[in-house]
This record gives sequence, C-alpha cells and structure tokens, in this order.
Amino acid sequence: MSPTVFFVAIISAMLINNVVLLRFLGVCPFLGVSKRSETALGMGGAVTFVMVVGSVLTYLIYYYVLEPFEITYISTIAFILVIASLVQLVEMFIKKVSKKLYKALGIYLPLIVTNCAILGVAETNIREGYAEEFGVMSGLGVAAASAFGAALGFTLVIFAFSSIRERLEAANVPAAWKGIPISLIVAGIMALAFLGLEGIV
Amino acid sequence: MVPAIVVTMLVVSLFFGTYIMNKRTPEPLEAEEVVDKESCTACMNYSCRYKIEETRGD
Amino acid sequence: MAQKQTAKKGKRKKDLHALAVFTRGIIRENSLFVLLLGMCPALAVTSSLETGFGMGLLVIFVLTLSNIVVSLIRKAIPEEIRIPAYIVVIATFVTIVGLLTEAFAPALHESLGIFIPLIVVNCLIMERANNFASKNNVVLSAIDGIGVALGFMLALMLIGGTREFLATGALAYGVYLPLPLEGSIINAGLTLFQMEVFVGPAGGFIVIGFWLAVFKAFELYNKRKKKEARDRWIEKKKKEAAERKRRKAMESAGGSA
Repeated sequence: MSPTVFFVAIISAMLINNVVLLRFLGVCPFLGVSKRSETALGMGGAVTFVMVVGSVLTYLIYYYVLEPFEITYISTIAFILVIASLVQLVEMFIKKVSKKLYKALGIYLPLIVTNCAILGVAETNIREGYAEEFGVMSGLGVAAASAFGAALGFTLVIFAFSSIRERLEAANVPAAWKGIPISLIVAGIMALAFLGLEGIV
Repeated sequence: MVPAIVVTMLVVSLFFGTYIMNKRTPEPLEAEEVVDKESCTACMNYSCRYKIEETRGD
Repeated sequence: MAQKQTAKKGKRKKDLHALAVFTRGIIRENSLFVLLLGMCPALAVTSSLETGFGMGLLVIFVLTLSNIVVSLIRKAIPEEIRIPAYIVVIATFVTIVGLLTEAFAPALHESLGIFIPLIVVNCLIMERANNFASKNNVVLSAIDGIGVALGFMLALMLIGGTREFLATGALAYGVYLPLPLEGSIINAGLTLFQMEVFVGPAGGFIVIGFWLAVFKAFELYNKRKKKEARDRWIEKKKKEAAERKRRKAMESAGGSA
C-alpha cells in the first residue's frame, strides 16, 4: 500500500468532504464558539486530538470486539460511551498534568462530548469500509488519516469563519438577520466555494 | 445476546467510572467564564451549560 | 361539596398546565427556530419533505421514551452520575429506533445514514432530559417530549419542503417511507426553474438562515407591538393621573373659594 492512499484520505476528508460544510457535522461549535481566532484554534486542537484517538479506538472496538461476537448492532451505544470516556480521561489527565495546557485546551473538552463531528467521523470510518478495502490493520491507518484530515478540515473552516465573523460584527446587517441567520448564509456561501474543490482527487 | 450485554455493561461502567473520577479531580484554574455565552445559546450544549453553572456558583 | 369543587378546579388547572406544556414546544419555544437546538440533523436530513418527516418521527419516538424513562428514574439516580445515566438511556433508545427503522423503512434508514446514530448527540434530547424530565412527573414529561419533538418535526418539514420545492418544483411522498402509494402533493411542473443547489449542502445553510431570519423578524415585530401597546397604556395612565390631579386641584380650589 503506497503512502498516497493516506495523503488522498487526508485531503479528501479535509476539503472534498469537509465535515462542517459538506457533511454538516459539528455545526454547533462552528456557529457558537468560533468568534475569536484563538478560540477557534484551541477548539480545533482539542477536536483533532479526540477525533484521531477516538476514531482509532472505535475502529479497534468494532473490528476486534463487536464483529467477532456478531454484536455490531450495539455499535452506537459502545461508540458514544467510549468517546465520552476518552474525553473524561483526557480532561482528567490535563487537569493533573499541566495548568497551561488545561487553560489552552481543557476548557473545550466538555464541549466535545456532544460534538456530533467526533461520533460522526467514527461512524463514517466504519461505513466507508476501509477494513474490507485495505485489510483490518492498514484500514486502521486509513481511518486514522481520514479522521486527522476531517479534524484539519474542521479547524480550517472554524478558523476561516472566525475571521469572517469579526468582519460581520462591524457590518450593517438588518436586525432580523443579525447573529446566527447571517452566519448561516455565510456558511452556505462557503459551502458553495468548497463544492468547487470536488474534482481535485 | 450474552456478549452484547457483557460488552454494554463494560462500556457503561467504563464511562461511569471515568466520569466520576474526572468530576472528583479538582480544576487547576480559578473559576473563569469558560466558553462564549453564545456557544450555549447556539446549541444549548448541556456540558457547556453545566460548566458555566459550575463556574457561576462560586 | 366545596371540597369536591376545589378538587375539580385543581384538576382542571393541571390539565391546562399540561396543554401549555404541550403547545409551548411547538411554536413559542420551537426547539429549532427559537432555541436553535439540533442544527446538525436539521441541515443534513432535510433535502426533502419526507426525510424531514421521517427524522421527526424518530425524534418523537426517542424523545418521548427517553423523557418517560428519565422521569421514572429521576429519584433513583444519584446527582453525581445524572448526565452519564441520561446518555446511556438515550443511546439505548436510539439503538432500538435505528434497528426498527432498518427493519420497517429501509429506504429511510439508507437516506438518513449516520444521522440515526447521531440522534444520541442531538442537544435537544439531552436538554429536555436535563431540564424538564429530571424535574417533572412521568405524564408531564411524556407530554413535553411529544410537544417539543413535534415542534422539531414541523421545523424539519418546513425546511425540507422549502428545499425540495425549490430544487424540484414538487413535493413527493412515498419515496422514503413505506407508504402504499407514491406521488406528489404539489407538482408545479417548474422543470425549467429547478435550482438543484438547494438539495445540496449550500442550500441547506441558506434555507435555514432564511427561515431563522423570518422567525426572528416575527419575534421583533411582536416585541415592538407589545412595547408600543405598553407605551400607549402608560401614556393613558399618565393622562388619567394628570386629569385626576387637575380635577382635584380644581375641586380644592373651588372648595376654598
């Protein structure tokens, strides 16, 4: 298996199937948190870590526990609980280890449990059938790569959007459109722009 | 059926355990306004709300 | 006799309360348009009227049952593990709903895709469990669940209908749900003016933004009306008071004269 597979997986998850704009995952933090650029980057960092580790864990659980016992129908409950436990562990670890790190990332961790992007990417990795295509072990690498790409795409969009939001604050918007409605229109235009990237891979 | 119940019990207890452990670990920070207010109105994220209630408490 | 009457009165009051709980979630506190809960599914599964309706049905099912169970166990679970317990309850019902959909409406299951398991992380359900069902009795919680989820379903159908109509010029039924026949409710035959962008992601964002602005405009209009009415009332009261004062002054002046 050549390294291009990983590269393609990252690019396609980041730009062509962008989690926020084209797959509608993680719209809540996208609309809510991304007001200042640093906030957006902090959120992006926390999401990247949890998304990659969470995808790897859920992938392993699916193919080494659920499938051998033929109990894939409980995957939803297993995935959400594993991801939520992971978030708790990470938060606890950061609390104990470093004040600075907690200040930078820890405050976004509770937000992540209900972030549909994490669970959505974990589910998508299973549904894309990487294990059937590349074998279970190499499929794990592809799944991790696409989770990383998805997280990069999330960070990219949330960061770009925070910059636009700063300009929007100063714009003269009709009262009814202020806040979330105009943000959604902006997101729609961004989604149109991302549609143009469809042909790269 | 039996493995399904066993696995479910395992993940449930894992989550409860980590949740309680995390809750009992004290925060190293002084209480501060943790998230933008707007993120709570944007999706009423329960975890973000309880975080704010906690910080508002002291 | 008197006791009986008060009992009756009390019951009636309770019924009224239940009705208020039911209708509140539909328009005044509509979960999507007013509280902005559950944005992800609202964008993702509303490419047509029918998928919005199907998703709404699933949410009604999950929210009602989870509200009932949360309300039943509200006194049994310790405060410390409240939120994890709710997550487990909700995840269980979502799994059940997913399996039922797969069995009875495979086309819907196919088109909703990963958004069925993602009902678990829908803020709406957690919010109701945490803020309503954990504090109220079973009946009220069930009514609240149905009302709020119905409001969510109507919102999804409004968005889905708008997008489907703009994209295809028609509103079809029987495509995703196992209905006995297929057809379309409205068929304007606007094949020349189909705007396919509206079934796509960009259209989802734009249509929701538009409806949110419409709801916001209504809210602002109502607020302004209310303020105007209140101002008018204050003005009237002020005038009356001035009038009374003048009359009193005149009276006292007349009395002294």
